[in-house]
Amino acid sequence: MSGVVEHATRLGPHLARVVAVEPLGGLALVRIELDPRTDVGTPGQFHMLSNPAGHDYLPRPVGLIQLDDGVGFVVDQASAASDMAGPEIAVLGPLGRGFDLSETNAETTLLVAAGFGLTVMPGIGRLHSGIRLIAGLRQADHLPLLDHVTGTTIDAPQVAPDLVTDPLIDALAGGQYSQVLAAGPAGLGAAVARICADHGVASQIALEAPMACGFGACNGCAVQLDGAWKRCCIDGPVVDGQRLLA
Amino acid sequence: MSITVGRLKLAQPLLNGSGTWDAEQAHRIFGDANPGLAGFVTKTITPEPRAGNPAPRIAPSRQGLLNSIGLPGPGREAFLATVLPYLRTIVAGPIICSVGGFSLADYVDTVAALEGDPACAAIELNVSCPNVESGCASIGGDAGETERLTHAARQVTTKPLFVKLSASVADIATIAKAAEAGGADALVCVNTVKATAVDRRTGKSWFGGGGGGLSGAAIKPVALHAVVACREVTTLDIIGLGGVESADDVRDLLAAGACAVALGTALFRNPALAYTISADLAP
Repeated sequence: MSGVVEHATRLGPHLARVVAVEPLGGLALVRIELDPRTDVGTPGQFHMLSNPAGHDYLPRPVGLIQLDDGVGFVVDQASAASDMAGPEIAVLGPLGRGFDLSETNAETTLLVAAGFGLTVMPGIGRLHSGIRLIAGLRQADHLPLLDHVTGTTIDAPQVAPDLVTDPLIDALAGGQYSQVLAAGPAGLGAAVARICADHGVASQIALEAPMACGFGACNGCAVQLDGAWKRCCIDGPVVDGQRLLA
Repeated sequence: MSITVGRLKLAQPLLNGSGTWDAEQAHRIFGDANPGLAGFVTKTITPEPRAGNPAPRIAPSRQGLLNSIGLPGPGREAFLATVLPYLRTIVAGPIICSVGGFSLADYVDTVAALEGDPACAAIELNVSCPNVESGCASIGGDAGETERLTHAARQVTTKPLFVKLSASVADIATIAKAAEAGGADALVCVNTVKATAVDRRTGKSWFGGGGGGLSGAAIKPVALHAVVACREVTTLDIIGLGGVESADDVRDLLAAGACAVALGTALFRNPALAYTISADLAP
């Protein structure tokens, strides 16, 4: 049966050790030590995380964050206090399609994010120092998250206390930007895609949807793309903004 | 541990439940179309392409998963032309095609179309999906309808014919006997149990497509009851499924009278689960 066990360990999920749980305003940063067979993936990809000893029956899709000194993920404090704080977390991934960063640079690419979508942006900022971010921060609790995980890679994030759309329209009017990368709730993605299309600017949107598996099996993460129901985990979570406008 | 279930030979007793695994995506992502499974049971094939139900489609439940997916799929023609030939190149072991529809003719036409395709090793009639507007569960909830459908399918196929039952019926044993009378080779016990999540504002189903079905550990006792009840009234082979997560769960279903066991919701958490269970079952 050694071959069987070998197959099982190759597929995953693989256990990650929880190193620390740090309060982050109303959220929590969970620092983990990944199994060497698991990698963080590219910005926009996700992992399915679950606590083998926890109460949640199903894993949840979470984006891992490459920190200066390790790997972590952000959850709300209630989750951190219960299911997602270990001592071990089962990690399956990376899964899904991340951002295509082949045309990305700090001069012509603009980032827009809100809510947990903010956790995607440090990974891009790490690759493109000085890139501009418009951050939708309705909840003051989310501010420490941005301070903590962006470090110096994203300079002076522009905070939008209300909607990100007004500063986005202002930014695109200048004609500097040819591409917008966005992550956040469904309403944000649709609005960003529409505004970018109106300005003739390309957009990539990281979508959010509830998932049971993350690899196309459950069909639970239906999102509207090209006017039809598609699986967010397979077609996305990062999609061309045009696909939201059909 | 090779076995035979309903005239279908399997190298070992573990399969997936229909609709709980996507062999194409698993092959692409994990490099293993049906990891640790003796074959592959397809998602239910409907006559026409279906988009599936609007979101939301899933909701968590204590020790389970609620879903209202609505049988999305490419339809019979595309399945036969492109999906099944590709599956045959990537799946290890036999492919069992799940067939659904909204009338007796829907089922019979698909079964007849599959009869001539050697890539299809066996056919499973889904008469128990709770998440479509008609057909399926309404057929499987009635003994007469179940017997008529099974008999009609039997007339157009020589392949092993399985009937997947619902526990959300007054008496599953009656339905099992009807499937046997109609000419089934095996029973599959059970599909998701009718259940829902409620939108507090409206008092109606929270799911975009309405309805809902419960799967996962919460329904293992329901599956055990179904297998015991069917075992008492038929001699048909039984594939047991519902809440299987471990080798002990498999042992329980086998002890209750199943000869093979399918994994479902637990595969979402651990795509390698069949390998783990096989290792644990090994003497």
